[in-house]
Amino acid sequence: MANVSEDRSRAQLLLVGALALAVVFLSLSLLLNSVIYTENLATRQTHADAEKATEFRLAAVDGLDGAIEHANRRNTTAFADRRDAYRDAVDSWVPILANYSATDGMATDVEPDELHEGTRIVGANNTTGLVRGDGAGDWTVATDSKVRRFRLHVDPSTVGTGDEVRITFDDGTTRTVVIENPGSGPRVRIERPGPDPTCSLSDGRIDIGTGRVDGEYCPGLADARPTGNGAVSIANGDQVTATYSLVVDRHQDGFRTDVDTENYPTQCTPPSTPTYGTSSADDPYTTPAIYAATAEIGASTRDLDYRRTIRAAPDEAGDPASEPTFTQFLVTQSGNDFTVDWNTDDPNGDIDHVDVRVYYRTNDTLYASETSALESGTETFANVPDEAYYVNGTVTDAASSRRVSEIHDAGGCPP
Amino acid sequence: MTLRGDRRATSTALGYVLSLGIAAILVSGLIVAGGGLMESQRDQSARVELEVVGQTVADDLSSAARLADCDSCELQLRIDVPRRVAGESYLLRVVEVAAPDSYRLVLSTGRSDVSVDVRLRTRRPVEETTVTGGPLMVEYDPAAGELEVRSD
Repeated sequence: MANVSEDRSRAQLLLVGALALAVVFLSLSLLLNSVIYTENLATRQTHADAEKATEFRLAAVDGLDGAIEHANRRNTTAFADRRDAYRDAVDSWVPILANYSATDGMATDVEPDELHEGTRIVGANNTTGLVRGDGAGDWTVATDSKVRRFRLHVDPSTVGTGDEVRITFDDGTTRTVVIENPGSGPRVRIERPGPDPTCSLSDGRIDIGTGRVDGEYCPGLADARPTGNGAVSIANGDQVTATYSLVVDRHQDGFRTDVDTENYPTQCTPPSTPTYGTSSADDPYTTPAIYAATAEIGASTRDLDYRRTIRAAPDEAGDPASEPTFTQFLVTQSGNDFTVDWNTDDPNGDIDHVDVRVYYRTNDTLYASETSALESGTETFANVPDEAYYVNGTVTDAASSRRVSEIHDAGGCPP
Repeated sequence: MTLRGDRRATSTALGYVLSLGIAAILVSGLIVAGGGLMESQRDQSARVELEVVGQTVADDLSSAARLADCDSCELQLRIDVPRRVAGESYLLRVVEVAAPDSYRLVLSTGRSDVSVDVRLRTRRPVEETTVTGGPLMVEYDPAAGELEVRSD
């Protein structure tokens, strides 16, 4: 019989079994460990960089908004002056934003790109109402335009019982902001499809762009903003005293004559008292202004590389303005010859053609028409019979068109 | 002489056989049970991990689509997810459910054949593709107007 104490094969079963079990439990613990790791992964914020980039984009748009407002508020009549002011403002603000983003672990840059020239309309005289150049209270403020940043400051003490100042926006849907006093005090009422909300008016500040009255949100007012191209007209504007300002997306040249033709349909262009003056001494007046601005922004972190174009147009409602505009529309009359010089611009650069048409003013029938594929040019209509005419220019791009209308009389003005 | 009637020293042998037998049954029972537990735990943890990975990828894809909401946008976003789940590599498939914004991410492991679906909605179309699991790169293609997912 073998010596028991020297038998080294004993307890092999237990040993192998225990070892196998140890391996099983060890791998189980590894497995559970990896589950714990994944669960930990699940609780992490996954898109921190994407959120930071969005924050940066919004901050950049806000910054451009501020620069546009800063440039537009300057008392100047030259667009170049506003452009310089805008660039100065952007140049001083970009490094601040870049430093701020850098502390957040993100490298950023802002490259100002294009400016969209529009027109700012200001009625700054606080002794008159919402009136045009000749003091009339029923008039058209803007035609065929996108309107943004429309602010009024009405003197509430001048809103008497029974007064009803109506500011109408018509972009296919008509909405009217009514400043009235039904006896219980001044208030703002919004006429629109559906119920008419009202907000009381005590300070007199009405901001149609942000939908606020006296700094407080007024339900329905923001919806009154025109989202498309449309006309703005005022009725009974002389019943109150108020100051106001707004920005439209059309170039001053074409815009002023078009509004004049709408307001003074019986006078040749330019009318004896134009709707708007051209300097801050006039009431109201227009100046070239920045309607919108674009910039290239870039943001990068370890996990993100992001570049895009941003566009800023404070308080603009609806789609970005992309309609073409006349930067010049000049009808020179020499006896019975009309010479039309035009120049156009388009924010999205896809001008298709320009039509110049001459209509008889008496019955709106066409006298002559010319079409040009050029963005700027000259057309001459020679030996036009003695009559009063509308000389209309229409610039058409891929999706939209804009018209300028002037009144001229080959037999001598007024028609 | 016969041994038939001789019962001496049998308890020792019997004791050995019994204790060995019981130990063998016990150990093999434990191993079988442990193995089974291991198997089910592995499937379960693979499922949990695939779900987590799928939801991370879906979330980042949605974020990328939110960022790339313009025609001029250029975007590259890296998504850091594990190369292996429960010790296995896996495949990630982007399947379009309904154009243009409804998608399904199908994540599946090879050996254990665990598959998980994650639904997502994006603001931009995503190209249908299959990539191996691991760090991913989401890139926006402005010409095609869609997001592409590829291995990083």
